[in-house]
Amino acid sequence: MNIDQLVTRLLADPGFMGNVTTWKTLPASEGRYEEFPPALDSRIRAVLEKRGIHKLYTHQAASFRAAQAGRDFVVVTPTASGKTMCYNLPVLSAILKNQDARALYLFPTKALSADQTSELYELIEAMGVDVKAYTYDGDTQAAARKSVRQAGHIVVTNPDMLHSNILPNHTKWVKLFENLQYIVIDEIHTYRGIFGSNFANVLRRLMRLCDFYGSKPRFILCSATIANPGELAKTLTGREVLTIDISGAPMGERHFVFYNPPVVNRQLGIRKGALNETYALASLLLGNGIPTIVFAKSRVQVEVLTRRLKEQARDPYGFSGRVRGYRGGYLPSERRAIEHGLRAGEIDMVISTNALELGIDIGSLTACVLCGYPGTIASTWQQAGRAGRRKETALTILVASSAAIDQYIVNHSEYFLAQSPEHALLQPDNLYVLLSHMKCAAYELPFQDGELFGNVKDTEQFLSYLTENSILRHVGGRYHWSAEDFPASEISLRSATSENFVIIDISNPAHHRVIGEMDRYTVPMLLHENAIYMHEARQYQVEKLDFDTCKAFLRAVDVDYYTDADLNVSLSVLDELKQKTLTNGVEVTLGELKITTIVKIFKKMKLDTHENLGFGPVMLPETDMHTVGMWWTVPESITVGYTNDALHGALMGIANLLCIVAPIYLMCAPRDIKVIYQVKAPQTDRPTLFLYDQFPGGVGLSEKAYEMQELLLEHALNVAADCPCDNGCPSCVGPEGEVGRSGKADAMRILKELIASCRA
Amino acid sequence: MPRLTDKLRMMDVAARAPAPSQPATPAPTDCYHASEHFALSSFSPLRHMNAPVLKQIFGFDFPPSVRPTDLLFLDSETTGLSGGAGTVAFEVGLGYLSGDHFVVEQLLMRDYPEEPLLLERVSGFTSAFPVLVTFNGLAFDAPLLQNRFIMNRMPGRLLPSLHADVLHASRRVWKLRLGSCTLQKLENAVLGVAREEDLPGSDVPKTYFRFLQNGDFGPIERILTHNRQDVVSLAQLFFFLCMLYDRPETAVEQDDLLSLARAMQKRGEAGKAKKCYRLAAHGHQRAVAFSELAAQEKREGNTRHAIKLYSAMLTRGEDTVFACESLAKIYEHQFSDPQQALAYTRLGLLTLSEPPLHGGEAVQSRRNALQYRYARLRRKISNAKPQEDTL
Repeated sequence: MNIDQLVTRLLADPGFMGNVTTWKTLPASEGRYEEFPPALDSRIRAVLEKRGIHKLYTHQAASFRAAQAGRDFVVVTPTASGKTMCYNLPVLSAILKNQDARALYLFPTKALSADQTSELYELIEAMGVDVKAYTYDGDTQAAARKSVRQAGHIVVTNPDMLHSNILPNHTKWVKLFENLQYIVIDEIHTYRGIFGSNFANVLRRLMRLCDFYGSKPRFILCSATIANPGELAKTLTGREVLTIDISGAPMGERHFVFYNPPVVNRQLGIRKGALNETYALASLLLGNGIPTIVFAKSRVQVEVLTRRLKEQARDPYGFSGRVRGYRGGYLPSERRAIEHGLRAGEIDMVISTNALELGIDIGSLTACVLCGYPGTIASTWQQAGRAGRRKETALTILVASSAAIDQYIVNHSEYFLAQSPEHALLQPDNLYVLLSHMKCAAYELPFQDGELFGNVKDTEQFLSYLTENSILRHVGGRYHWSAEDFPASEISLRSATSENFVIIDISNPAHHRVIGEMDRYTVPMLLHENAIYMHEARQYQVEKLDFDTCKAFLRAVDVDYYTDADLNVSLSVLDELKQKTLTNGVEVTLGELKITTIVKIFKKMKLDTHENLGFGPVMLPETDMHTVGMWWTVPESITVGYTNDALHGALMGIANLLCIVAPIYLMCAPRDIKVIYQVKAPQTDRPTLFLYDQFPGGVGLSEKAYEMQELLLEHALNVAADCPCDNGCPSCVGPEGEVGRSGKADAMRILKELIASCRA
Repeated sequence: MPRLTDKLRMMDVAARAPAPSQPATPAPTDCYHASEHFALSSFSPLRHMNAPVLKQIFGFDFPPSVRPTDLLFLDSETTGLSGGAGTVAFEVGLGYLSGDHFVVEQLLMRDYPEEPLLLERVSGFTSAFPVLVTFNGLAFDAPLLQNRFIMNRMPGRLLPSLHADVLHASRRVWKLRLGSCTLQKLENAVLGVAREEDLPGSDVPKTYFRFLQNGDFGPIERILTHNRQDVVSLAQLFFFLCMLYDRPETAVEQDDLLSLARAMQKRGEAGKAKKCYRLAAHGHQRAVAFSELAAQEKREGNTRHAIKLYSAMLTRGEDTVFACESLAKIYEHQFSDPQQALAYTRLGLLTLSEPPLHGGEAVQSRRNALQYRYARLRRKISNAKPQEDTL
């Protein structure tokens, strides 16, 4: 069956449709076009016409006009809408007019830059003009680097390379910096959280150097659909940016199916597992030979699905390469091979974590199955956009898990479809991030007295602090770098910590091999000793974890269980930044927290039934993190009459509810925040609910939660009230066994009191 | 509520010792400078230096009129090795010939505001000399100084376009014998200089930063002494190389002669190369020197000479298999004498089957090559005389 036949069949299948809560069909749309702008270089125009392109999409024309007018702008259009033309046309025009002009292209990953520039190379080649576009990244040969620096009109690189190589060595790039006319940044929606906060500072450093060399480059930014592209662009660049967000590109018909697995136990409200249902749907698509991408939420899920689907696809010779897994932790070469296989049509099905969400070109896939709600609306659209990149029919099936947020989305699809996607939040003024990048900036160019870094008013204080610590020397009105270190090497843009752990397979004593990497905060959860770690559908057991050298040693095993570590969190308040006292004496505070986490035990869970098979100890040091959080302090008047146990249950219930609603309304991934409670917080002795950013220094989520705290409480209450369970279930306050018999009622009562005190 | 700086202190685990605050100082008018004269008695004779010799050493053309006084020797001390925009050359040592002396001028910035003055003086020197001589300066000192000119907005300040890097030249000659070729290793092994209480190079940056903080010039004197010695050694090494290339017979070590021979050969100096190979053909490098010399003779068409050399190797029992193979090649291809070639091939195979050479992968591949040749020669011979083909 082809995709259209399959869609017809599914629509007519009552068994399938019985589980569909919403089937949304987005009609195909016609393209909207404009004539070539007169200022477009005739050589570019000729090449486009030779390719059968006689007009531009409206957003491409608008981009060109904005560039001509010297504006900074951001283009927000869906996948496959020809956005590379939005920057290639103005940049090539500028270089054809002035051979000295330079442009810098930044893509979030190496793979993307290689991918997205192929079109640029083709254009240049077809014109037969002398415009040199070079990729400059870790793979660029040492011998070629010099000519890139000297002669490259367009330098294509990534934020990491800019940060650790180009900026600290800017004197070798004089030509580029003196003549930089355009800075092109694609996929800006990926620059959120800690990566975005770092990147905004890398751009501050870049602009500082442009200033030194006397160039005044303009920004051309591109983003997938998010709620606040303009705001994001402004935070990243520190400038007012024009938003171009009406796409003129045509689109094929798209089906978006919300699928809720059937209930198997009505009393307990238990549904069939999303993983099994995803497997069944994926298997159907695979059986029909429909190119499909399956998004799973965790690495473990990817591995489990890959293993089962590979079984199905195995040919008589035992080869199952038509089905591949793809996730972070695979080596780059392995990933490139899979991407290539997808483009070449050698792979029919890929099972991926959100690692493939980005615009990595994997050609056109027809269907997309999401195992569970990806956590954000933007991610969901991004993942769905992987299907139907050509103008053909596309099918996306979102399989809801029993998680509360999934149930909320699948039963309130109108909320999902009406809601604009998330804001991308970042906090460029995170103290850690700022301090690190000011060091790099000072290394690159001494700060002058009175100079501001970006728009950071406290620049001077940071510089004095660094001077106090003998890292800078303040003399003659300037702050000079005065240390042997190379500060850029101490920061990794993508993680809050710089050290990554290396994962080493020691199954073969004669040949140890590195199979992946993991960041420091995740290591205690997944790589503690005796943990079962999955890689390419193979199980490994961690034999030794060396914290000092950042290495984990694993051996291949074959067992019928997986492991799940128990994370223990404690926190203390470092500083209070803002506070409001509501009626009843409820206090809402925004402040800085120290979070201490430790893993002490892990559970062994049976693979198919998820039965608990037992526990094991974990001996690892605690990890400290300073971050930003907000908290509600509940006064005596509200909690009077509750026993200690009842209060525990109620607060746990509220914390669980906030965990469900906060990511939806803060518009972040569930793992980006954490909510915990203390029945007796040390500094106030009062019951307290904490919500904090899961990133050192914070990325702006708690600030937003502080502003919209009343709304969060209201929606938390709604979730509990709307839930049909009696005394609690995993979809609201948590199971009765955990929150206690009166947990749900108590949680709702306290929530009502809190909301009332906001209103009075 | 804690202040920002307190917070910074709290979160920065790697905070260092606090630096004393800086008293305001008036803008400097000059950097520190000192000079010292050295007698030329410890230098190799300067007369060996001329344009052809320099070309042989460094591989590029020098003006025919080039004289020792055209050379500026340069070595800098820096605040780190990263070579990025935050690394500063805080001291530059410059050496040149003046009359009967070798003069070392040393420029030092006593603090960051003196850097432009230091660079100004450096560019005064670099623009006055046509040839720059450094040790690893192509990769380090020169780009670093360019960085500093750019950082201090001194555009157009250029270093001499002729830049002779003694590190690379030294590696060509001494790597075979010495392995690593640091300046200090070379001055010790080649020039016989022994430094006393020398400041290790890795201590230089922190010594300088300490001086910036406490103003104690004592340790800076040690840096200056270290740098002065570097400049002198650099110059001595340079003239020593000139002498070696001009008069290879002055070399005493077989390894060095062999290296020199190869370097000459690479530069197309066949005559000098052969001379060096002959000089090297004693002691432990004899077989190598012989075979390379023979190969050179063969290239030049002196087949008879090559045969003589290979035969000599055979008689002495040095790398017999290689000699046999080479002789077989000559007889097969140049003299079209497959019978003779076959005889040598057989001899080579016989040698290979003898105990010390028996076994091993390398031996196996040599044996394969010889066996292949053997079979081909047999075919050639039998094709030429088909009626006798009984095998």
